[in-house]
Parts: sequence; C-alpha cells; structure tokens
Amino acid sequence: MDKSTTMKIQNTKIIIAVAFTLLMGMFANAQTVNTAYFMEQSVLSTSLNPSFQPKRGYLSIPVLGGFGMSMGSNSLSLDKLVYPTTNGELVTFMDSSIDANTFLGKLKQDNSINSSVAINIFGYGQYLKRGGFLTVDLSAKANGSFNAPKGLFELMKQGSGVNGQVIDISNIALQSNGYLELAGGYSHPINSRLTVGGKVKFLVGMGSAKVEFDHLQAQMSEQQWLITSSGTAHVAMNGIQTKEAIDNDNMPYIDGFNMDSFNGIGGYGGAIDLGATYELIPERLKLSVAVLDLGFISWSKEASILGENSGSFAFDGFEIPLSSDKTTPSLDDQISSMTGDLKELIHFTEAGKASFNTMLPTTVNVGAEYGIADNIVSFGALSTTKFYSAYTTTELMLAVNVRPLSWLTATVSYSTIHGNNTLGAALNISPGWINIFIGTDYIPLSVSKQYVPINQQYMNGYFGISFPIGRSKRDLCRY
Amino acid sequence: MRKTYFTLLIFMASGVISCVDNNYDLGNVNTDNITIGNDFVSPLGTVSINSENLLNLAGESDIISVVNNNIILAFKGTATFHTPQTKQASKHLIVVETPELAEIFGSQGANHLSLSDPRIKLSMKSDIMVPVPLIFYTASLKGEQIIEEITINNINVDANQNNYWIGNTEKSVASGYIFREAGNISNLIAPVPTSIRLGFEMSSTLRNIATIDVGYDIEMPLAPKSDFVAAFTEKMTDIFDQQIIDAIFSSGSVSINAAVTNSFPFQFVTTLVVLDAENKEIGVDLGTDIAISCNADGSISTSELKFNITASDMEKMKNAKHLEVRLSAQGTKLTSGMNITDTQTLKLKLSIKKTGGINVG
Repeated sequence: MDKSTTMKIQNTKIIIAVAFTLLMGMFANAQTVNTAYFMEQSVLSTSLNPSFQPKRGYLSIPVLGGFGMSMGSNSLSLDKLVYPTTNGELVTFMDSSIDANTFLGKLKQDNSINSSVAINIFGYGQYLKRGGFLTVDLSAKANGSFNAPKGLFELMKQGSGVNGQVIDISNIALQSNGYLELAGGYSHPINSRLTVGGKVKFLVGMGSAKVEFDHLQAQMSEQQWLITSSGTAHVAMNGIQTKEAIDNDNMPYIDGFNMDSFNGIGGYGGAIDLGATYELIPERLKLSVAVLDLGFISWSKEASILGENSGSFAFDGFEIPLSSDKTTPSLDDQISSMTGDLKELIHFTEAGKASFNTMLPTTVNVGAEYGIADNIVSFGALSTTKFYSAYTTTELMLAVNVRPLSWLTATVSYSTIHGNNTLGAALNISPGWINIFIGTDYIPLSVSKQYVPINQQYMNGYFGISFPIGRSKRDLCRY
Repeated sequence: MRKTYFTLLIFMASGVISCVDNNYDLGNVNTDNITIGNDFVSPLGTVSINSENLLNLAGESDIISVVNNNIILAFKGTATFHTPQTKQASKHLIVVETPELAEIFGSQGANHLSLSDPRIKLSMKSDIMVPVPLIFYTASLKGEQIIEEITINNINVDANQNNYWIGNTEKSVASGYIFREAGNISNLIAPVPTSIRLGFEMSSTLRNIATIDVGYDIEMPLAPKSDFVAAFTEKMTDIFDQQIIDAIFSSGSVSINAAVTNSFPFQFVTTLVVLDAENKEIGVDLGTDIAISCNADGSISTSELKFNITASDMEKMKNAKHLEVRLSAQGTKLTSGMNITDTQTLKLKLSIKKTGGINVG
C-alpha cells in the first residue's frame, strides 16, 4: 500500500469519525438514561425526577461517580450516510451511484446533530429525619449541536438542477456550551402517597459559542450565481481575544481566537428541577411528573464577543482574457479572487461585546409505574418532552423492571423517538457497600465492524459508581 | 481515554444482542467517486473581442487614426521630384511598404479586404506658375506581383496647392480636393499587399524645369464591402485552468451555451478549437462554421450558440489547455459601407449546463 493510499484511508477514517461524532449528537442535553427512571435503587433516578428517593444515601466516587454521554440526530444515522456496494465496499451518500432523491427523502427539513457529556465530580445524598432526602452534586457538563438544513444536502447532492433554482440554506447553526453545575436537592414526603422534590442548580459557565446563519441563500442560474448570507456569532470565554485579518475588500474580519489569556469563568446561571410522585394505588400504581433544567446561563459582556455576518457573492462568469489582452487578469488570478470572495460569505466582523443568555433545554418527564408481585416486577411508561429554543422533541418509553434480589435491579425499555424504535437496558447492582449502575436507552441492534450503530439515530450511556451510606429508606420508615 | 473505555463498555454490553453487519466496514470506504451535485448551471465567462483585439491594432498606431469612432488606416508621406531635364519622359516612383497590413489582417490567401471608400489624397505644389501635367499611377503588390493598378491621367500641378482625391465616389470628397475617379480602388488592398507604389509620370514635352513637392495619404476607412472577407484567429491561452478541468470537464457531460452579441458590420463564421499544452488540437468537436449574424443598421445583433461536450469527449478534455476561436469576418450587402469603429465588439457570454456532477473523488 503506497503512502498516498494510506493517507487517503486515514483521511477517510477521520472524516467518518468526525461525521459519526456529529451524527450521533444526541437530541438532548440530558446526559442521563431514561431507562433508569423506574430504578428505585439507582442514584441516577434522582436526576430524572427530584422527588425520587433512592433506597439509601450515597457518596459518589469522584469522576467515576457518574459519566454520561449522549449523541444523536433527528434524522441521520450511519446507514443514511454510507451504503454497501456489491463488491464489499462502502460508499458515502455523495457517491454518484447513490440516488439523490433516495438520500434526500430520508432527511428532514432541519437536520440536527447533537452531543453531550457529563461527568459527576462529586455527589452526596442522605436521608434526613421525617423521610426527607438531601442531595448535593457537582458536575461538569458540555454539549454541542449542529443544524444543517435540507437545502445544504440538496445543493451537495442535486446541484442547481438543469434549469437553476433558488436554494435556501438558512438556519445553519453550530453551538456548544461548557459549564459546571452545583446542584442542591431536597425530596420530602408530604404524606404516605405524595412526595415532592426540588433541586436548585448554580451554573458556572466556562465557555459558549454559537454561530448561526439566519439567512443563507443561493440563487443559481445560467446568468448568475448570487449567494447572500447574514448571521451572528456569540462567543463567551473569559479572556478570549479575536485574531483579525483583512479580506479582499480591505475589511477586517475575525480570523480565529487567541486563547492564551483564557482565565476561567465566562458567565453564571441558575436552574431548578421540580418533581412530584403520587402513589395512586399504594404499593402498586405510582404516578410521577418532573420539570428539569428550567433555567439559563447568562454570559457576561466582558467575556463575550459578538460577531456579525452580512455577505454577498455574485458571480457572472470570468472575464476570459485573449492572448493579445494584457490588461485582463489571468483566469488563475480570477479564480483565486473568486475563492476569496466566496470565503467572505462566512466572515464575521467583530461587533463589540454583548452579554447573552443560553437557555438550558427544559425537560418534562411524566411517568407511571405499576408493580406486581410485591413490586418485584413493575411496568413503567414514561413520556419525555424536551424543549429546545428552536424545536421540541417527545420520546415515549415503556419499561419492564425486575427486582429479583434486594441488591439487583434490571430494566429493559422500549422507546420511540422520531420514528426510531429502540431497546434500552440498565442494570443496578447494589450489594451493600457499593452501587454500580450501567445503562443505555438505545441498544444498537445492528453495528458496523467498528461497533458503530448502523440504523440508529441515537446513542447514550451512563455509568456510575457510588457508595451507599446511611440507613435505607425502609429502615427509616420503621422509626 | 476513559470516554473510550466507557463507550466500549456500553458497546460490549449492548453487544450481547447487537449484531455485527459485515457489510459495514468503515475501514473500507471508497471515496473515489464522490460527486457534488447531479446537475449544475453556471455562468462561465465572457469572451469579448473588440476592434483592437480583432484587428491586432495594438502597436500599429502609426497608421491608425480614429475619427468619430471610425477606424481609418493611412499611409502618409512626402516626396520631392523634378520635371525631366531632357526631352525624355520621366517617371518618379514612391514605394510605400505596408507590412502593417499583414500584421492587422494576416496574409492568408482567402482574405479579400475590399473596402467601400479607400482613397489616395495627393497634395502637390510646384515652384513654377506653369501647370505641369502628370499621369498618376498606383499599384499594390504582393512581393513583385501586381495586385491592382490604377492610372489617373489628368493631374496638373502648379505653384498653388493642388489637392487631388482619388477614390471611387465623389460623395465623401472633402472640400478643397479635386476628385478623380478610380473605380477599382476598392480592391487596392483586397489581397493584402506588401507594398503600394505611387508613380508620377511627366511628359517629355515639358519646357520648364520644375521642382514638385508631393504629400500623399493613402487613406483607408475600414468600411467593408459586401465581398469583404478576412480571417482572424483569437487565442485564449490557459483558459482551461486545472481547477476548471477538475470541476467541470472531468466527468459527465457539458453543454456550453453562448449568448452572442455582434456589433461589427460583418457577419462571422466561427470555429472553436480546443488545444492542448502543445497547441495541438485535442479532437473535441465544438462545432465548425457557426454563423454569427450582424444587423443592417449596425445595431447589436444577438444570437444563441450551443456547444456540446459529450461524456465520451471528457477524457480528451483532461488535456485541454487553450481555446482558439477562428473567425471569418464576411461583409454583407446590408452592412456594406459601414465603418468599423473602436467601440464595436463581438461578445460571447458563456454559461454551462453540467450534468453528472462535479467529481471530487
């Protein structure tokens, strides 16, 4: 294998890795696993509903106490991006053998790719007198999202068409946030049937970036290509400085960032979780509702940079020079100039500093659980609705929970989201001195040789180890 | 690293029920045939041939003048000669070398540069009051071969300024000139000459010895007649830039449309030839002898042309480098006598329809 072939394969793998990372960006900022919702022993369940109380208090192992990640897309999965051929190879959706209409038919008008990760730095939970349960958690969280309108893929796959057309690529957006979350929660049984809980979160913003093209349109005809753009960029990171460059029109634009002076906090915020649990039929039917992450981060003006974009690119064709013409620029120079003009479409000009807010995507969980055989087996149904700034998603999950032993809980779930039906599973092992949780909502039923899910749009997972502390809920109730 | 282990752990746990599909090996992705877009339309460029380009007027300023935008070629000079001092007739000859004409029009045999109103303007004066009768003779030659001859008998020169206009129509004669008709002067440079001779013959019967000063102006307004034919070649060096070859001419097929405007007072018959880096034809037929019309009133004539490069020609196009436009300018009855101006252009606004996408694999 020659060097160029090796490099080509390497590049291909990198492209696929990046594409997959983007593709698998989860639709949620929640780095939890819904399958844990009905797992009473699980520490994680308190993150899904602050009124929930685990069987015992807990102390999380730093970092290993909880690690969650989620990735996904509302429309894209591996089998929509690569296609097997008869000779055993894979080709990408951009291969000429892949029919444009077939590929585009699988997309939505806006195709979002999101990912998030959360690491529990510290976690503590303890039962108080009268059955109250107190939690304190410190976590580091990061999320990112990318939205690509269908028009972008239409342009890539169909081109302008034989008669030209206006292609709208508006609403391309890229966003990422990183923050620390210090959460204090309390759950209290009002009576034997009703338990309410809440969590107050103090958020420390480390960095945020949001680049959005609210307008990007290409009018393509034989006579002219006219591409216009407008957008904004918000970047917040304390100490960040822009690098400036000059474009073909002698206008300054942001050509990157200097991170040498980065010195930490860029903003503060807050959020609350609220939840309630009601036992409609004692020891049998339990209803629950929770509102999570009702809040925002406000990024300070000093740490923020505002960029504005307003671009226009018109191409009427080159001025083709005759050999005898010594005044017209060469075609090579004209192509270089045109390339520069095209790049200017995505140039942002610094427009000062302005504080801005980043809303947390609020989640509403509504669940019902019915137990049989002395609650050794229970059946659960959960509706999860997430409210993003631009869209809302709803996921429905059915779960079967089995508690065959006092220290073991296993749950199998079936979820449907955006037409994607998936199986999930979670296991909580708590043999007295340690509590281990592992789970996912989206078990890939079919994976590539590299264990990448093929036809699933979502992937998540959570793993956590904690130490049970204090007396159990049942013991406390005896007093 | 921890993230990786965790992901693997999840995958392993999921692997209990997950099935590995061997058809999906991400280490074996073929990207050779990545193609952007099925079909594209786009402007490509404008080829603009103006009078200066077409006629290669650059560097020929000595013989070119522009009057009211009309381009006029002129060979000017002066000479002095004496009447015969013997009883024998004498002939004085002025040889005007005309290499510039070949520079402008080329020297192809097919050229027939018949102009509607060329003229030879003579301004003469002698140093005696008695008129000196002359026979004026002119001939254009290609090498030593005479192309066209004109003889004018009734020319007289005295001590006053004697201005003669030797042409084929009295309509255009400027004031102060005496017109002498020379019907065949239109063809003086029809085949492009290498020189034009001007002869002044004096009778042996003259009694007085005189000195004659002659100023001559062989003036040729570029106003083609209907039988005017001139071949021109315009080359566009390096028009097939490698980036253009890669983007447009590496796969699929291409249809090049040209919106043509012509304001020259002649029609064109055009052939486009694609050349490689060695200036050899690559064998792609873009169409030959394509007619581009002109309008009778000299207004801009518009027409549409279409050139197709088929999928089978694309392999040849990979060697394309230059484009040669071969133009045969042909006078018409409708535009006969209309002058070529410095503002006229032949413009081809090119656009493309590309099918098969842009291969970037």
